[in-house]
Amino acid sequence: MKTIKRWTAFLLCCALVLACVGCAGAEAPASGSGSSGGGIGGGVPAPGGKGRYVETDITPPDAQGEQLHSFLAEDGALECYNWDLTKKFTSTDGGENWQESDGPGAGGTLTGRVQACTRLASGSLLVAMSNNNGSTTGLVRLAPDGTTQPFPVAPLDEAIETGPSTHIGLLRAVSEDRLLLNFFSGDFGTAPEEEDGGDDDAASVPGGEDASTAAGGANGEYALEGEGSEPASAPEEEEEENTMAGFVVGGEQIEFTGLIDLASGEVIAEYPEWFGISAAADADTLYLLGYGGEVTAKALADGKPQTKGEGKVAAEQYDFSMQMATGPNGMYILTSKNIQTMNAEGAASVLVDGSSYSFSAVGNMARALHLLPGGDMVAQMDNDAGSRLYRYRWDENAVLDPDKVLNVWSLNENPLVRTAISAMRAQNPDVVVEYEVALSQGGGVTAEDAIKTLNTRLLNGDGPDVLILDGTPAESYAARGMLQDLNSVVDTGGLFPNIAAPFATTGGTFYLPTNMKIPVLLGTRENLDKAAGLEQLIQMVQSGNPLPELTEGYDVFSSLPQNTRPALIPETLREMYDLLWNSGAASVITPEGLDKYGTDEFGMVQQSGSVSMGYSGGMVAQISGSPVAYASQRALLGAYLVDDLAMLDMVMEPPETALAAFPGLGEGSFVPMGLAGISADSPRGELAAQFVNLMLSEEVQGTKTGSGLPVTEAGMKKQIADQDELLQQQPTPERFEFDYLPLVNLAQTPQMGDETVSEMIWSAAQSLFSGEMDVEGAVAQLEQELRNYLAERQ
Amino acid sequence: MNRNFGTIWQSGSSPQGAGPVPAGPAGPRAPGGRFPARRSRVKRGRWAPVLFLAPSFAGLLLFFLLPFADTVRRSMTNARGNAFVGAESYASVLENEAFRLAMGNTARFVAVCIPLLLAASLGLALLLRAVGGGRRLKTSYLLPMAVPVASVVLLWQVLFHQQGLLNAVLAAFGAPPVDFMGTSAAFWVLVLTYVWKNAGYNMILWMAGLDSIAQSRYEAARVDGAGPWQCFWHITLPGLLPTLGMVAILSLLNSFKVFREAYLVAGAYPHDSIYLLQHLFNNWFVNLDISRLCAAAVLLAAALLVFILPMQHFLRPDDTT
Repeated sequence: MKTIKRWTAFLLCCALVLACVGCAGAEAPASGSGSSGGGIGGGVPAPGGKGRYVETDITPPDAQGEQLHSFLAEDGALECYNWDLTKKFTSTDGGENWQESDGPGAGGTLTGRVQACTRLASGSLLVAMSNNNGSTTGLVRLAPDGTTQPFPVAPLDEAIETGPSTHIGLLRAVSEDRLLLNFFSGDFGTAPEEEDGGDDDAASVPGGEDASTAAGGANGEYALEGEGSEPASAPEEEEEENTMAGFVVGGEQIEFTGLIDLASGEVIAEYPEWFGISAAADADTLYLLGYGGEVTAKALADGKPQTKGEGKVAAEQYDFSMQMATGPNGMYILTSKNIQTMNAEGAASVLVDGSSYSFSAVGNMARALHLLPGGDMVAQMDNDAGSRLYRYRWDENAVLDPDKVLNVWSLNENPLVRTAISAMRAQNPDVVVEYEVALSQGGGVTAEDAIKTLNTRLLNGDGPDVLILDGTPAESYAARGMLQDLNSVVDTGGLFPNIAAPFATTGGTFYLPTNMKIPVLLGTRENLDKAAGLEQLIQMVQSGNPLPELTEGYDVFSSLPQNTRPALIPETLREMYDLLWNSGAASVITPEGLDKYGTDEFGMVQQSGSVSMGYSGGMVAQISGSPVAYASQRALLGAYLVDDLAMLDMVMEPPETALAAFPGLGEGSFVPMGLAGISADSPRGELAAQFVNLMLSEEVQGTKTGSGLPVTEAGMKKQIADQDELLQQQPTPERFEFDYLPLVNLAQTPQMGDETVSEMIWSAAQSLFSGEMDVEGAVAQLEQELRNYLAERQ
Repeated sequence: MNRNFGTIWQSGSSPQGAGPVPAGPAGPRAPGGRFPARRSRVKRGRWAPVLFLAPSFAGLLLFFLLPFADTVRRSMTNARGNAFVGAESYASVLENEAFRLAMGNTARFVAVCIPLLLAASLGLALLLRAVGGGRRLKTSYLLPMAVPVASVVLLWQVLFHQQGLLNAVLAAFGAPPVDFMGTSAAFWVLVLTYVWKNAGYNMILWMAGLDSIAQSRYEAARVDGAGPWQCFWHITLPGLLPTLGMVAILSLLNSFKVFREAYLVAGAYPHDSIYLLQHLFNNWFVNLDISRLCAAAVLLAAALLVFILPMQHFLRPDDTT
């Protein structure tokens, strides 16, 4: 018995020692669900550790600024062509050196424009040609010597013959004898035929193969034909066709995806259900990559489904910057966030985290991914400035200096941060920025959990260097000394003074907005004057015309006669609520508690939300219902949370449109976004300050990221100049000139409402709207719910 | 137990209570070092309990004592822990309305739940003992403990929602619907959940306590003419006092776990009646109000000690019995 006891004790001690050793030796877990990873698996080693993927820009020097086609030849050489295939660049040493020669298109044998291109095993190219309007005219085989030969594919040729417009979505030779072809055809994508097809034709902009085109124009900006003209007198008199950015909307649309025999051009199999972006094949299997990261497998021989190799990589719901390639160890999938591998069982893992590399930069679109024989990866990324080729090579001896690793944290993905990371990388190639998004998709972490984790780190003194404080108790962090005073380290001179001023406190400036949104009211000056205050606006809504009844076939975009237009037409109750919240959040809670005057807003919500119009339906991207209703001249006023100047300019098209601050509870409200602060305990304070300065730089502020308006004058001017340049490249060149100062000057009071309070009020508003209680009841419920919230902060 | 062991050891009898009394270390030593060898064993014997306790004590130190010491420290410093603020946080906590409400609610919950749970579980134990029940029946009482909190929350929502099952039943009888979670009824829903979940476990503990009472006492009492009630009052209840202490402390500690259900159903800001101390702690931590949170935690620990220590003193087994 004694022996048994001794052995048991011995074994327990051994287990304890092993457990301790195991814990000590275990790699520090990646912090946060959306962590940028760490260690070799993430492409970036732990600080002080060895080995990392090193990115090298291997774009051919003579192809700078051009849009390219890139391919991997059978012998492992990299081949690049300029877009019209007149120049060819070849590298046999992984992009170190390039040899330039005439491309097969140099002889002028190609007629029309190159829309898409793929390389065949023989070295020839299969090219999709288009006319001046960007509509596909057919496929041709282009031999290295420049000779061409039509390549008929029956479904495509039929669509070209019968449909008004056809576009190639994906053209890829996946093996020696198989081609994957995706195209769509229908009444879209055709601007009126031009007599003179200039080179600036939008439809011919390289990129016909990418997702933006594949989306069938769904991402196009909304515009109304006949803008600026007098409104039609009645809906039934509206006979003009509506257009979206010059695309005619309507008619039958056909989409085809199929596996084609490269020898005969015959369709082997069709995949009508596939909605994706890339394809690759190994010896016997074709892999199709969907926009959400789903990989489906088909037999290469007959195109029939097979389950081997199917799986899913972690990706955004719709990631339009993805490419895939097959290698000896399975599939390699490049997403906008990382490079992942997937084995034959469908198990995916992150090989390279993108936060430190160019492929995750905002505006970059993955065009191709090549696996070189030595294990290097080459990614072709396209953006407005042309194509770039980046090589990723594992360097075992690369050592990461812990002082050069900057940790940036945010609750939600922030595109401006991504842009700043690119700028930071350009300025400091030896610095690695780890961007940690606490609420990344599929992480299963709540905002509260993420904040608690952050708080724990802050209390332990190992918090992130840079904090993007949206959704966090920023004021509490500042009050408790967790944030550094930015006054001495960040140049705030470029910020609009009225935007920066509210963030300066007696103790210092602890965080600054890097973007903003401004709630405005659009309308004629006369109507804006009538709605000068919140009460007047409520009165105008309640006493105005009722919302139009929706009947079957009713066109919600057609205008209404002036005398029948309601004051406001929000698309949803939530839209109206969000606008009211964003224009008065900071004023809802007063030192005495709930501002009951503010709850009068409920009345307006109740009134204006009684009909849901359902404008969007996927057609109107990034713009809410109320400004659309105003722009289509169906409402007297448009309530708009402005986050984009081009959109604002568009909805201000109706004649005599003026704008005014939305008459919320706050005086001249604006919503600060991307609140950037630096941890007081950050050991890399200088780098952190440099990063925040970059977020406020002209380069970053001037980049349109979709996260709000710039907060600096230089950024605003650059965005306007970029928009102007873009419009001048349209088939019908236009100028974009926007006087931003009246808009910016409206912004005086930042609205930094607590999400908890917002949800409490929303809950009460829903009860009110559903008829469960009246305004008094909703206010009473709100007061009860807010009592403890307020008491905790005493 | 330790005291008994010590008593036996000091009395000089062997642990088994039989056999010759061994000579102490100060006794005569035989040539050849017989006694030194025994002394060595005695020394080893002294260290053995320490060694066996060490892992447990290390865990206690690492996970309870040191964190608690840090909590006490933080309660008297600012949030970053680099400036001493004295009892400022304690004063702020004691003046805080939310703390008072949460403390009151928690105390009320404990005051209602613990007696209710003790009585209900003891009743169940006695009933089961009287009617007899197999192992399966006993095990079935433990099932509520095995139900995951997420499932319990779903059950709550199905039962107590305004359009839930209970309101459907009420509506069938023509009664007006009750907003169980939005009114003070929420408190009783929480009490019910707690009792339902813990009654089975406590019942098992009570049954163990009942088993430890010698049957001979009951038999002797019955011979002397005692009835069931007298047996219960004079034999069962006194015999269960040691068990009562343990069950009461476990129930008290378990009562703090009911926060999970309350939080998952009603969120961080539930109805006033079920706003517990843990809600307040949780919200203060989210808001990084760490000094007040630590001060409140220290106050709560002190309150629990004030409750538990006397209970341990009064409910410990009588050595003379």
